[in-house]
Amino acid sequence: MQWLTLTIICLVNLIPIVLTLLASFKSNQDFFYNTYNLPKVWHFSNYADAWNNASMGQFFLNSVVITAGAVTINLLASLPLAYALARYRFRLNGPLYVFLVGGLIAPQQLIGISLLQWVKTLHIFDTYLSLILPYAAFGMPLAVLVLTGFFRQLPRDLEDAALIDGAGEIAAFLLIMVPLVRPAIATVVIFNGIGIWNDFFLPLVLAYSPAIQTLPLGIINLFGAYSSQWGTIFAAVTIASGPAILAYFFLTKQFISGLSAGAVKG
Amino acid sequence: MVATPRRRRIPMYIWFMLPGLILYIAFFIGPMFAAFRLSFTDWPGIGTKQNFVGLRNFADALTDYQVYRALLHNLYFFVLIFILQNTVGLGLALLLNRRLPGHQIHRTLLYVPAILSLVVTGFIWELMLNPQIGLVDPLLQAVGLGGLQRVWLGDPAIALTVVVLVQAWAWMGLPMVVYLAGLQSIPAELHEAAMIDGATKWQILLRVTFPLLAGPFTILTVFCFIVMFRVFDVVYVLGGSLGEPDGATTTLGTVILEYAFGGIGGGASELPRMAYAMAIGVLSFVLLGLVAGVALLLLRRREVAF
Repeated sequence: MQWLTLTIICLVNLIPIVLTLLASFKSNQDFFYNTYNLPKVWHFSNYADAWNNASMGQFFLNSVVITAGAVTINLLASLPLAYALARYRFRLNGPLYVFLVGGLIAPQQLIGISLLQWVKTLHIFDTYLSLILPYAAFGMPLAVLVLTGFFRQLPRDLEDAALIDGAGEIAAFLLIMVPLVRPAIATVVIFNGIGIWNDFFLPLVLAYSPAIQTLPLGIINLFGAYSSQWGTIFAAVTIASGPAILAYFFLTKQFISGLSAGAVKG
Repeated sequence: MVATPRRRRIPMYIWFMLPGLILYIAFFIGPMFAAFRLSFTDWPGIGTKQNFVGLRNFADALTDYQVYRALLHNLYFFVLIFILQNTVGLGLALLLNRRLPGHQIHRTLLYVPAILSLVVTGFIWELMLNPQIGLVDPLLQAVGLGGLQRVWLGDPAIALTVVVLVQAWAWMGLPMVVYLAGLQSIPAELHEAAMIDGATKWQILLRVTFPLLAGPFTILTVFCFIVMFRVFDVVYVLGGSLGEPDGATTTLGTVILEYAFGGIGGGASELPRMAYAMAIGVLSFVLLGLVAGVALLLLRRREVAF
């Protein structure tokens, strides 16, 4: 009985997503008169149409470049930072940690509108960098929170052994410590990556030309331009959501354990 | 041999921290403080002309109907979703914790809506609720509740509730997973001990399980508060930046955007008021920080260790 309840809730919960997926293969006529069934004819051409004519290919590329760029820069910057905060003792250690992690409650929309003037001043307005650099910075509080916590748990002997063996501080960090925090890196990449992939506010404010707009903003603009071609629109929506959903299905364990760790440790 | 003068080396940890700190200050903290500073001026958002106007923007914001209405809407988001996450979210977690066959598949599937971008979520539900092609109305008819049918997103009386419920659909996976993790970390002996002492199921739930979920409860409450005061994407897709119908679905996010780039009150003729928008952002940040901080302190105090 409980099992049945859960299963029904699961199915009802997924109806909107399943209908979206089905509609992405339908012709307009099919969509209106055959909304709740499988497509009569599977129109794979909707995807080609969305990808080429509706520029989803361009938006997809933009999303990939911006997400990958931001996540990479974020990691390159946050890994040594978190390592220093976790493993070295110095006077500003505590305050710096609060300064960085406190960013979790910072007003992101306020920062977003403020960034418009700043990227213009830096002459990177309407370029990939105008989104990559802010996203890399926005991901810092979460990265420091997760990575510092993980670095702190590693036994001190590991570094000492490396240093005695003649390795420098940089080598000890890169060759011994970083490989040991791979699970934490995965958590940071997943949560920052999905967050950036799905973000809408920053491109809305900062990305003027379609050449750098990401999928969520691209879709919004599509609704107006393609309002009568439902198959194309749903194919576009599926293209935009697909990568995140696939990543989730492949990495469910990391997702859930990432969320759970935060919850239980608090 | 001549002793070389000893130079103080810059310790390695400084070099480790430098790139991250520069990035964080340049693209996060810096722009935030720039906004704080601009909120004391009359800068419209374009050009270089700006005059210091002291606290005028803040005084204006405190008497602005748009701000109060949006604030109330954000509060409504928080209250309704807070209730739902402690009933539906917690309920699902309790069900999943029974470890029925396939519980991992159930958990995986139930969390899927949380992965979608909120723009996509908004769009899908806009169509689901559409009077011509939506699924919600036929579904209500099928279960004999056809009388409830509305123009879901066009009726100012219920539009906000509908938008909140769409947000809830996307949100509910999180409290479910977090409560489940909390439940799984409770040692089984505690339940067994209570059972041996003759406690009923409900007593165990109320007296043993709930108090031990205080940690997840704290985090989820504070997190829900923060997110619901920043809520934007779903609102923007379902109600537009003006919070249609008739401003019934505005939030602080849409109001800030509208003031920043011009649009509230009169369309194209209305000048942007960037500095004023920033003042609203600063005010809501201060409010958010204070409330979240106090809530965190109070809730932490009532947590039980085990």
